[in-house]
Amino acid sequence: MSERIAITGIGIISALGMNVQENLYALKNSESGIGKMSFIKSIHQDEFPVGEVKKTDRELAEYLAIPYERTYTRTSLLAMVAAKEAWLDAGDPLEDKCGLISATTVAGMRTSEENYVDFIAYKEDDFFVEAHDAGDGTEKVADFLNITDFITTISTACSSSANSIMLGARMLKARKLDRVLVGGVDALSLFTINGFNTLMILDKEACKSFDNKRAGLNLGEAAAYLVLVPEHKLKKTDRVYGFVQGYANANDAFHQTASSPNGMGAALAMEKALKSAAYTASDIDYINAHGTATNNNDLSEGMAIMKVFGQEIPDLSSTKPFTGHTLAAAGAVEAVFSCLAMQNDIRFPNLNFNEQMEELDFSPITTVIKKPVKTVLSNSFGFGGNNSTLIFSKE
Amino acid sequence: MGIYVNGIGLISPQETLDNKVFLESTIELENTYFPIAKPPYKAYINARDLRRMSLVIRHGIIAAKIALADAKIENPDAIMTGTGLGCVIDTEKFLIKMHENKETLLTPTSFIQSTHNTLGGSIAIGLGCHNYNMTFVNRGFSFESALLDAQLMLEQGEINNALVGGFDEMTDNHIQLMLAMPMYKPENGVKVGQGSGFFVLENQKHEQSYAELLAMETLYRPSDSAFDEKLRTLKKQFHLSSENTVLLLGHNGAKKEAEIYNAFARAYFPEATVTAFKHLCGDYYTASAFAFWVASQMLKKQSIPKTLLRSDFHNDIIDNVLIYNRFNETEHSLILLKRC
Repeated sequence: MSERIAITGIGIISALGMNVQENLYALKNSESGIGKMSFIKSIHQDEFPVGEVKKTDRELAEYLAIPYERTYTRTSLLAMVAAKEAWLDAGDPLEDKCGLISATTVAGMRTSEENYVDFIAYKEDDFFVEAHDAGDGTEKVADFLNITDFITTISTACSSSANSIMLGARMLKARKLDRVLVGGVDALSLFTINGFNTLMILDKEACKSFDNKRAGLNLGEAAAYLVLVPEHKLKKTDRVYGFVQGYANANDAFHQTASSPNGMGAALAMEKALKSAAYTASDIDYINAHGTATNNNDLSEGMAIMKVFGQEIPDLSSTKPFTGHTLAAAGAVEAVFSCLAMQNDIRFPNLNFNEQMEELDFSPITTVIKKPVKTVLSNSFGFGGNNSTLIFSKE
Repeated sequence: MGIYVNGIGLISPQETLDNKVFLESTIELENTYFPIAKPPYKAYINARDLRRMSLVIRHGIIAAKIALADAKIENPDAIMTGTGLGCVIDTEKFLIKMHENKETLLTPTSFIQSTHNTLGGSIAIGLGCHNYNMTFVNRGFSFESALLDAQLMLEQGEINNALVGGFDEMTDNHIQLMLAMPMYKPENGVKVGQGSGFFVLENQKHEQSYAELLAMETLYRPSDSAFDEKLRTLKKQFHLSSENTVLLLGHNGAKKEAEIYNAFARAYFPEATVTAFKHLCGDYYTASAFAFWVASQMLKKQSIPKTLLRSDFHNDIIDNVLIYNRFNETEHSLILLKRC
């Protein structure tokens, strides 16, 4: 079997808080971060609740102790906060060959959308043009943390940062790097709020993942990063949150945005991930589901879970009702939550759940369950039929 | 185990549709940016699908189809795409409409089509391909990252073949953004371009193989010494010399860039045959995919069209082609291909 990949640092900023501790506190106390849209200005302000990071861009820069400049988009600032926490958590890389694999869907859109139309019309105020594309935030993080040996960025819609974790593990196994910072970021934007609204999949209330009366998702914003190190590079002083035990990426090849009703791609991703971990379904203690709370996703994912796990479905929940759907960041956010589940031996509740879905034989857990967690399976699915599954193990 | 380029497909500003023809006649740029030489869409995509597809999706799908047919692969084990900007036209459409209508009366089509992975997903749907599917979006490393991912998966035995591509499109609006960036300021003389290049990489050599992929390296903000060390290692590892290596360089029309490329050639391969490609496709995030097609063709056809030459052509045999491309001074990539 190939070498194991350890997680030695974690960092997160989300609607639940500015760092790992604040996120863990909210999770343990069933305190959702979803609320009224207040930092982004939209006509949908009172219509759709969201999971916002409760800081302005200027406050984020202050938090980072860097001078506020407009070329730092909200996306970059969020990424820098979480990346810094994870990087420092893992300790000094010394002479290690280090890389950064980030992920985003809309990149600097929050900043671009405020300036783009005026710029096209008047050619004034061009500060944002270089911060618009997906590579900008990654370069900002790399420069901030002085990571130079490798950088790249992934964009596979809502499975993006699960894929950055997967690529990071693959690069370490190939001995291309000694240490890699992996994760993803997305800031809330009018582009995504209005985009998801045209698809009519935004809930006007707090989202109800896996509920029979679920009515859509809540959008959120977040950044989350993890430091991965191959086992042979582990030092005695390293704190190991867990291992990236298995991973898989499959494609639903059904529709550009909708998932197949039988969850073909989702099932394939979970089956392949179990195989890559050399696990059977019964080895999984807890599933952190994608569970966006859209009609389509929860049905498709639920069917796939029943196919893969049969009658023995482990404790399962979606943490989207805590954070909102943070798009490209979701996979890394939930990887951090998976680490916290294993570290603290708790399984997080699926908030707002009332009624089991007609089509499914199972319900998610609805309260914090304190019980050993040795293994977690985490799903991330996206537009383009991109389905990814990660499996984490404690030992 | 080697990694072989067994199929290629390129939609570009030049006539590159037919792989049997290698840049026999080329066009010079007249406009602000290079337009695509439009392929006969209906020959590749049915009318119903065509209507729904933006140009960049059409071009990517056609390039992918050509590469797959060329390699005689129906359903690849993996699909990796790279793009700097993804589907710009649909992003712009949604953005502008949202602004004009003040967030009302919007339709989902352009939002759905705007994601960077739209092409990867569309190719998978078209082929019914449920396998690994990845999209990279890191400026001048986008296509390179897709290549690297394929290389790693082939080397680690996860797959036997992969469809790997780089694509970017240019629009009238987006060119305004580009021209505001320091590198592309009109006075620099950089020509902006676009294109879609797809390739089938396999762990098996075939009779029709174009080339063997020996190395792919990305360097982010390398120090002079780190760059120098990388070059020395590459030269030593693959026994590269001026005699057995043709350089394919990313000259983009800027004087400063030309000086850097010239200094590179002088320092590491002083007597080598030097070629360039961006005068034919323009500069864009995934221009290295155009270069990858050119290098593959050079090695298979054992010829270099005159339009590419920046020095005398003094090789009897083209053994290796080394692509050196720079993006925005910060991102450097080196791709080494060898004759099969």
